[in-house]
Amino acid sequence: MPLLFGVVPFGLITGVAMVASGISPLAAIAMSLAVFAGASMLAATQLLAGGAPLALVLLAVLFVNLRFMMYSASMRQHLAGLPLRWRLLAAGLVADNPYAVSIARFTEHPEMRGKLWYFLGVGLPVWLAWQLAVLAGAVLGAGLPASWQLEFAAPLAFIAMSVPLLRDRGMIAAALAAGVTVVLAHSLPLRLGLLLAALAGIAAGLALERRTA
Amino acid sequence: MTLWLALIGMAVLTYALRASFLLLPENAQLPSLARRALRYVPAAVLTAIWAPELLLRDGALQLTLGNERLLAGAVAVVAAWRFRLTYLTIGVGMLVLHLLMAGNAAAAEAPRKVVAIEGVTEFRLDNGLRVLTVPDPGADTVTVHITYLVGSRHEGYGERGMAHLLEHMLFKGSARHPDLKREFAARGARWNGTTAYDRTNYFETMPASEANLDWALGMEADRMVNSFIARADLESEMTVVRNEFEMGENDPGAVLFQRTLQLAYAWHNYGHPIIGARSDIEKVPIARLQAFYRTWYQPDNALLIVAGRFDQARALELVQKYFGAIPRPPRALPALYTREPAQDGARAVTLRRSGEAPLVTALYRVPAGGDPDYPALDVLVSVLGNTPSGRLHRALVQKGLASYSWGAERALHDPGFASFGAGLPKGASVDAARDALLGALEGIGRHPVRAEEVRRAKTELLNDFDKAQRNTRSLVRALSEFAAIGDWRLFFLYRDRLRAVSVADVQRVAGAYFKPANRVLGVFLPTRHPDRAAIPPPPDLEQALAGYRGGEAPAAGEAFDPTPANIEARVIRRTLANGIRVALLPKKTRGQVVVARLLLHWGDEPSISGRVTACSLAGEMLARGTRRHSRAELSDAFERLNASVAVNGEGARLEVPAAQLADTLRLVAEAYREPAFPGDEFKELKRALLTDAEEQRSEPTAIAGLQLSRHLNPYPKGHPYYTETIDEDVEQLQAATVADAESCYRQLLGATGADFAAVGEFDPDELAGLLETLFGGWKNPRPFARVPARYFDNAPLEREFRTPDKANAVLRGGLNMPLRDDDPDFPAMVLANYLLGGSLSARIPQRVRETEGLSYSVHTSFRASAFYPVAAFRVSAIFAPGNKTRVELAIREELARALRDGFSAAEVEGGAKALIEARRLARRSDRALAARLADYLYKQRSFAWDAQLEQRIAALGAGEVNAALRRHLDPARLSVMSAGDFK
Repeated sequence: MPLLFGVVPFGLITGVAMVASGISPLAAIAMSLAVFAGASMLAATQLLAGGAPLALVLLAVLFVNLRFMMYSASMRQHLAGLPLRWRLLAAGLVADNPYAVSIARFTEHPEMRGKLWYFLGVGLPVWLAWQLAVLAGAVLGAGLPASWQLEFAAPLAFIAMSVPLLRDRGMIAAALAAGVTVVLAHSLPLRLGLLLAALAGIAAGLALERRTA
Repeated sequence: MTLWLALIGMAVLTYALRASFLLLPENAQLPSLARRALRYVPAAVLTAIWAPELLLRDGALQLTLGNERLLAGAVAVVAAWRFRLTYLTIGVGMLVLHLLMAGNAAAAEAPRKVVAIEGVTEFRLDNGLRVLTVPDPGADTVTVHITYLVGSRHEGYGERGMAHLLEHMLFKGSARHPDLKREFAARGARWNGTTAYDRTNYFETMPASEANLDWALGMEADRMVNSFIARADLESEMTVVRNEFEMGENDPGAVLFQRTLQLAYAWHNYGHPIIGARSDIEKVPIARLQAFYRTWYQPDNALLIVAGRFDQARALELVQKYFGAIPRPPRALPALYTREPAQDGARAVTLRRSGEAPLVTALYRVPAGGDPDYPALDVLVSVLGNTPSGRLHRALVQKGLASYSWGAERALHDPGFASFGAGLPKGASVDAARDALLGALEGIGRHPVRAEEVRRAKTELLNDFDKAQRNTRSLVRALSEFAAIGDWRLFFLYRDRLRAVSVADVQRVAGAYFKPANRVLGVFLPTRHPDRAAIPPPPDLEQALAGYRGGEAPAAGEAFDPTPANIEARVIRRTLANGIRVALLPKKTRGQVVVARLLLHWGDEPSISGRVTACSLAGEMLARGTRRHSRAELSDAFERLNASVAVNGEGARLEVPAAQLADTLRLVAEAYREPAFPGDEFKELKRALLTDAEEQRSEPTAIAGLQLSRHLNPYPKGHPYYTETIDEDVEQLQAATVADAESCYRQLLGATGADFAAVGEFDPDELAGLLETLFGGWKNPRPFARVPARYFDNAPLEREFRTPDKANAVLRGGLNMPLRDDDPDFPAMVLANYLLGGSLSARIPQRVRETEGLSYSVHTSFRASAFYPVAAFRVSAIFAPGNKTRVELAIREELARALRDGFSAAEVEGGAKALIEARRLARRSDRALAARLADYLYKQRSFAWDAQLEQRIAALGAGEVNAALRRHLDPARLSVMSAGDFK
């Protein structure tokens, strides 16, 4: 399945990068099982290693994972009629890849039957492959020398995720404002600069988008 | 803990986001602004996470080509933009990073290997940092330990406890590591910092991993120079440290130890507790902490130790990466130079505090830890203090005098100390325990150290070294301690020296250091209700003096120009009944004071010969009781009159407010005319004079002066001008009786022909009348005849007298000349002496004091008699005994040079001006004026003599001065006596 090709290397990288940033392999695996969201895991690991307080770590995770709320909102119309237990299960699998594949299919075939089974059929293998990949990465990463600087894979992954988004003025403004703010505010305690940068980025995005509209 | 809390929080949060709309009613909608805002969240947040990773290094913006991550990230951004492929972006970024790192690593300096000893290797960085690697492949941990060579020894006044306070502050974080303690916890690190006299160290032991090593090295490099040391942190940490101080105050043993140390070190900082003074802990300004940090926390003052399981090459790369980035500081390390002088006698301290059981301790100062004798001392301390094999245990505990005993030494950078003690059962005899303790410690001469004692102690101490070397943690600690003593390699050298210690070595160090003069005894006496004197803090004087106006200002004196002409114009001279001559200079003086001088003249050569001591005692007895007043009453009466008075057989000096002059003179007359010679006063006087005489025996000043005088003026024994030896003086004093003194008084003393001079506010007629009343009837029983002085033409003599344990030595030299003060050469000789040694800028002081720095005081003098052709040139100097040869050579060379080359015309002209000015200044003093007036009465001179002398001096040319000097001063005739602790 081509989908798994996308998930496995990223899982591996996430596992390696987390351990390289200074958390134990056991904690990395536990986090993966509990959270199942690569970008937020990398972000949290980096903040924890830098000594950021709990509240800020959670706030960063909230920001990074806010997109799940949008996924959740757009999936609702397709899965709304299901019993609660199935919806709870499906919610646990909402992630970039399963969502992207499923929503494309659902949008093309709005009236298709067994949407739930399709979603689970995509989501469960991805979940399993991801967990195994992180496990492998974490175990492998602990044995790899720090000189390989694998923790740098985390910021690179973020670059890979964020740069392709920069396709309109609003997005570019948001990224630039956030980047400049976080660097200017780096001496604030508790890495509060991250919070300021996020707010500055959103504000800049909204402002410039409005002006063009 | 934080990690797991974060994990749970993240899981709940993320799931809530995923489930949000799936669980909400179907019609729920996000507001449109929120939906639009949400669009920008990923771009903003993700950028905010990766941007600092590229742009910041060690908490600072780094936009240079040396920032490999920035360049690699930039390439990745381009790749992501162009190809939008996640793995390509990550792959390209990692590849570029490694290529750049490989390039930079090849260019970077690597730590230089310096030396390797028994598995410990030292490396040195360019900035001066010393690095030790202590690999232990079998360990499952890695330790990073950094020792700063700064401790309480380096603190200044007002900073006691600052080194330790700073240690606490270094755990308060930096911009890059704002919460160190949390980071330690996240890595499962065991960590701590400790402060001692000579060093402060910090260490963390973590599960062995390159990530942990990388983090710890980065963190230690960061806090070496980037710690906050913030005022707010000091305020909160100060109370923590103060409580640590309070903890120590509860322990009588710790306090007693501190008190003994404070006695042992009067100057060196080892006398101050490491924890510091309460006031300094509370008040030390943050700026002083910061300055201390910036001075001492630098790579060239630190030793980094990496120990445990780690890859050596990688560790050195990381050390270079993190520590190599710190520049070598521009400041030079301050040198400490305070040395404690040898203790000069046993010291003792008693501590009274609440507690239960008494303690007796003894502390001795010993050499520095790096001294070759130190290991023998270490053995000795074990021989004495070991429980149960040591001598103290046997002498105190086994005999039931004490419950326990101990001995301890502290190897330090500077000369340190060994301390011993015993804890007593409640109610036990402190005296018995003290005697037993000191007997054992200082009795090694009588009970020599035995071979089996030394063998046992050496085995014990060498086993400690062996254990330390087998346990990496102990080895690291030991290397840190020995580095603080001077060098980490000392650990190994010390062990080798310890192996070589012999019984004779131990015996020798016992004799050298464990003796009473080097001891500080400490006694703790438990006291339920300690009675202490509470000294109030200094008062607020500004408040006390607010609006203060004082009383009336004292009367101002008149502006009097002391030229000979002015003096002569004002002086009134008269001769009174009984041949008394008076010279009175009425003038306004500051505070309306009168200064007066009385000179008595009595006896002749036959009548004084052989009774100098008796007559001198007679003079001293005059003010010690009259028929009407006791000595105390006389003294109190003078005090009431606010009069300063000195009375003896030679005459009297007084200084008294004008209104009290008459009453004071009446009392002085009473002392002269009605002395009672009380027997007990005479005994007291004799005792005091005998003590003075005995004290002279070891005084270099007295010895040199007396010997020179005996040599240059060899009058026969018994002659009034004979100089007695100290033995003769003592003998004479012991033999003297009050009857002898009184008979001298009765047979010789009187005011016939006396001279009296006064300067100040008085009515001349009234004063003359009073003097006539008081002294006119006091006639000399035997006429006065001046004892002629003789000129002795002595052979030069040079002698040295040893005065042990006197740090200062004295030289007295001189020669006689057959010259009277009306000799035509007299003015030239006065000026020549002035140029040779009469002022600080004269030749001999200039050479000995200013150029060579050998002496605090060196000068010459020249005097000639007004009656007989007898003149004396004298030279005098003080100096450190070791400089004697140089001082004497310098004096002789300067004399020879003055005689050979002469004084220059400019020197003579300038000297004459300065000398005349100095003489004018001397006449400004009313006291000196009164003395001169009285002296001139005796010599039948007026101040015209001064005017004439000064005119002649002013007119002198260099030729006259040089010719006179050559005529009268033959340096080959100079006799020199020196006394001091010469080796």
